[in-house]
Amino acid sequence: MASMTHSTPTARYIDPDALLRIRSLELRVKAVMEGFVTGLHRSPFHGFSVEFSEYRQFTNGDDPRFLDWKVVARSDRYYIKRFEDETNLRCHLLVDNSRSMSYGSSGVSKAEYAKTLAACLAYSLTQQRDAVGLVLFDEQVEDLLPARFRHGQLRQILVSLERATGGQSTNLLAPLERVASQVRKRGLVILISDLLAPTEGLERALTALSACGHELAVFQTLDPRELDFGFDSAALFVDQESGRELYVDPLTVRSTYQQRLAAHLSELRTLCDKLGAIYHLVPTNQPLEILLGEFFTESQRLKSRGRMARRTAAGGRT
Amino acid sequence: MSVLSWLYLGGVALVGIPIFLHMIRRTPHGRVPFSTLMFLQPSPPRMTHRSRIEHWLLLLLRALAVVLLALAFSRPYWRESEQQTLARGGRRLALLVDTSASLRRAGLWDQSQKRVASILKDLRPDDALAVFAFDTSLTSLLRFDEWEQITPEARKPMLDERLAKLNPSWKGTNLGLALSEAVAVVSERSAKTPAKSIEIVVVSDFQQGGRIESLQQFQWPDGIVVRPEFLKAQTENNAGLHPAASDKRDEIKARIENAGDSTAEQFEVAVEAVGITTGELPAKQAAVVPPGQSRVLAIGEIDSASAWRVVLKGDDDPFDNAVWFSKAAPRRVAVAFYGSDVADDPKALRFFLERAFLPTSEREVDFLTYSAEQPVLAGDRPVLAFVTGEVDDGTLKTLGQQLEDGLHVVVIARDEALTKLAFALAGQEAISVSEALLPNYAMLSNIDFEHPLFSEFSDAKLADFTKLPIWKHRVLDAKALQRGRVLAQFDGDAAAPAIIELPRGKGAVIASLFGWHGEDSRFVLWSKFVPMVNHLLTHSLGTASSPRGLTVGDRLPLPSDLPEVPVTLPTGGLQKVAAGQPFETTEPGIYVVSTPNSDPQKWAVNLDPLESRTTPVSVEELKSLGLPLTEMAAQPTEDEQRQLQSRELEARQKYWQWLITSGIVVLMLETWLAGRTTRRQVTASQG
Repeated sequence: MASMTHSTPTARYIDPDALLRIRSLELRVKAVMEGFVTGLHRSPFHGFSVEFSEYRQFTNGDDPRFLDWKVVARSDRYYIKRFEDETNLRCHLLVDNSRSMSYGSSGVSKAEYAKTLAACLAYSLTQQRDAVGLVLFDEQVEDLLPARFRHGQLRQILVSLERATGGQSTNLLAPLERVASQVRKRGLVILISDLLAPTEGLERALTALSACGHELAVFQTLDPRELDFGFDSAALFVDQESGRELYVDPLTVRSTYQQRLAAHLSELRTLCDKLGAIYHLVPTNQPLEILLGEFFTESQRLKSRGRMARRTAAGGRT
Repeated sequence: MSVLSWLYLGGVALVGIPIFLHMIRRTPHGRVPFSTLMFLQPSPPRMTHRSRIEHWLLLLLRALAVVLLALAFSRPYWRESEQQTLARGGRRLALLVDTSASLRRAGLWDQSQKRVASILKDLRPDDALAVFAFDTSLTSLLRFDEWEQITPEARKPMLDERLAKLNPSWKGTNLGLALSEAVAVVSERSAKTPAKSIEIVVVSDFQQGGRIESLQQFQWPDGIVVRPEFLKAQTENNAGLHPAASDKRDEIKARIENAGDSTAEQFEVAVEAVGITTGELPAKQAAVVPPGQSRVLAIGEIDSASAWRVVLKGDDDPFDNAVWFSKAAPRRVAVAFYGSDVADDPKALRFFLERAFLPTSEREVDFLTYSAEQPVLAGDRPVLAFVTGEVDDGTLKTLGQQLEDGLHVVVIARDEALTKLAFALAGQEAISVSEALLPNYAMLSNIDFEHPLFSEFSDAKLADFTKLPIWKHRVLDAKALQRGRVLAQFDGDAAAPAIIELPRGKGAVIASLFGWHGEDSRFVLWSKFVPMVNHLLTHSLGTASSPRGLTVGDRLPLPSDLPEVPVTLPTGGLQKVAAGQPFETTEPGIYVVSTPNSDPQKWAVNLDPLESRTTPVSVEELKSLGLPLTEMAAQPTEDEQRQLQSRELEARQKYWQWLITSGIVVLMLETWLAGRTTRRQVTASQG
């Protein structure tokens, strides 16, 4: 049913610099997604909630709409017919909008990159008729759009993403806990952040989300300069969030920096693996098409694996 | 090239500071915003390799500025040009050698001679030299013109010969007078032949009793510098003994003065008889006088026939340890008054003058009055005369002769005729005078305190002459005055002379252009009137006014009616003095003047009391008096001499000014360059 057609990918990649020079986020998203989605996903018009999953005895509180009347007529028993919840994917995009995200060494800031990524994902999911929501946060939740599939949702998401960066620190715990408490229905939670914060709080927050049954995907956006610390001369480095100043000679601290960063990234990767989350390290100079391609492929693989597992489990019960 | 201060040259080592700072890469090129500092740690300043020093030009400029400043502080000069400069020479030196009594202290005179020899040794062939000796007055030993006339080879022998005759006298010191007179001589000579530098070298012990205070108001001409050559006494203590005033006529008192730097304070005073004496001599007395203080001791009562020598024991320097006392009969002197005033008229000047001269232990005054009815007698020999009215031709002639012999005549010019009379008495042509038109009153100003008439009032406490209002006076053109000295002026723009002195022979006419009483002024009622006329009388007598008697250098009062007066000197020798000739005392002791018809008169002549104040004045005190001092050379060794020359040379060349200027220019360049570099870096980091 689904078919992937990657036609000479490198020739079609759009340079992130050139992409982000497009001021309108909507146009930017269309530029990325045009042709990209062709044949990538399953068509939303075929097989929409047709795959039978299981029967379950009706209990008080269940919606009577889902009663299988044929079974009632046949056996005078009340059963509810359940289907594979495929097309009704509820996806929440958690986008970090803290001040550290405004850093960009080559004209592309992490925030712009992250928002473009989020917009692309939202666009893609809307096209699939999936419900998409947005949580924009710095140290607290700035904007929360619950996941819906309706006309105008994508536009609202795009307007929300246009907000400027703010906040004093990257505090993932509070916003993620709030998402966990407000988003009851299981779905996909995509976190887009630089994750430049201690991993302890992050672990708690992600574990909470995972415990609610959400599928997790983490995009860590980092500037290439943050990865290699390629500064030449000694200077007074100013923390963009706290304003703290530090005299640093890059020649002396580069190796230590790189070691510490590698340790931090490794911790994050381990954490994601532990929670079964998809983890992507995204340098801002990486073309978005490659990233999206990788993500959707991986997501599909994981989904199939999950479906197989559930079928096996259901078969065992009946 | 040499430098004066080698120590400052060590400042060149500071050049290491900019080099060190350049090697530290602690120059944050602006502020770099970064997303997080959680993986960063602060970096300590780091030394770079030599090859990584940035901004070589800046470093060079900074190092150059340090080197230039260090060089400037070390005061460099060129030796080559020193030789040239020294070869050019052309200094003018006035050498003043102190010969006062205080130089009799142990070792001082030898020291003085050595110092003089050293100064003369340093003279160069084209230097001009004049040598003076000074005590209470300045005596020329060698004039500039003499020096220039004789050949360089003959100069030294001649100087040695003249200096060999020089010995310390018994007189006091008047360094202020000596310096002012030397300045006049040097200035006069320099006006004729300019010199490269003019220096007055004073070889003296610079004692505090040297009367240097008179220089306080002295206007030093530009270009003259004074080099003090301090002589240091070998002895530590000096106390002096001097006569003190006593209320009782026959009682004698002596004052012990202990110098401020003295360490002794226990003294003993003993009395010895000089020649034949009557009565019993007073016993020895002990006295404790702390350093810097004085104490008066009552010695005893002396009769007119006796002469005593009182000796102080317990002091290191004996030159001022003896004082002589005698009981001389008061001298009778005549003061003449020419005028028509009635004897007991309290509105007339005569009334006040007659009462102004009170008898003292030294003199008794006969007040002679003359008028048209009472002509001058040939035998009358007044020493001071006051003229308040017209005199006839005969009197004019007599007064003229007496003026030639030393009479002082005071003319109170209450009108134009009397002013003309003053000029006539002085043998000068009269200057036209007119009556002043005063809207209010005039006051005396520009007082000549060096004249004996006013010298008593030179102290600032007594120098106020503004309390005498003068309502009427005569106006005389000062420019028309040819031979005369203005002693005081009236205030106001015209500055007309108020009191003038017109010299004639040994005497002088003092003309006051305002009346002393009546409508002109109330001078006779003023507190300064009596001291002024008495001081003028003393000046006319030519003797000291001190109640303590005569001091060395004073003239001995001799009877004028004898053709020849024999004077026995303290040393025992006999000197015959011709009539009218002054006899100046040269040493302390008892001078006996023998007269055929009366008992011989014994005159005690003592040392100037100020000579005992031997504590030297400091260089700071000399500077505070306005002396333009050069570098002091206490005991210049050869090294010190060379250093002194180097200093003079450096002061002339003043290379340090150029070095400082260059340093500032380099620093400005450095500032500009550093600013430019920083701007570029900031722009680069922002871009």
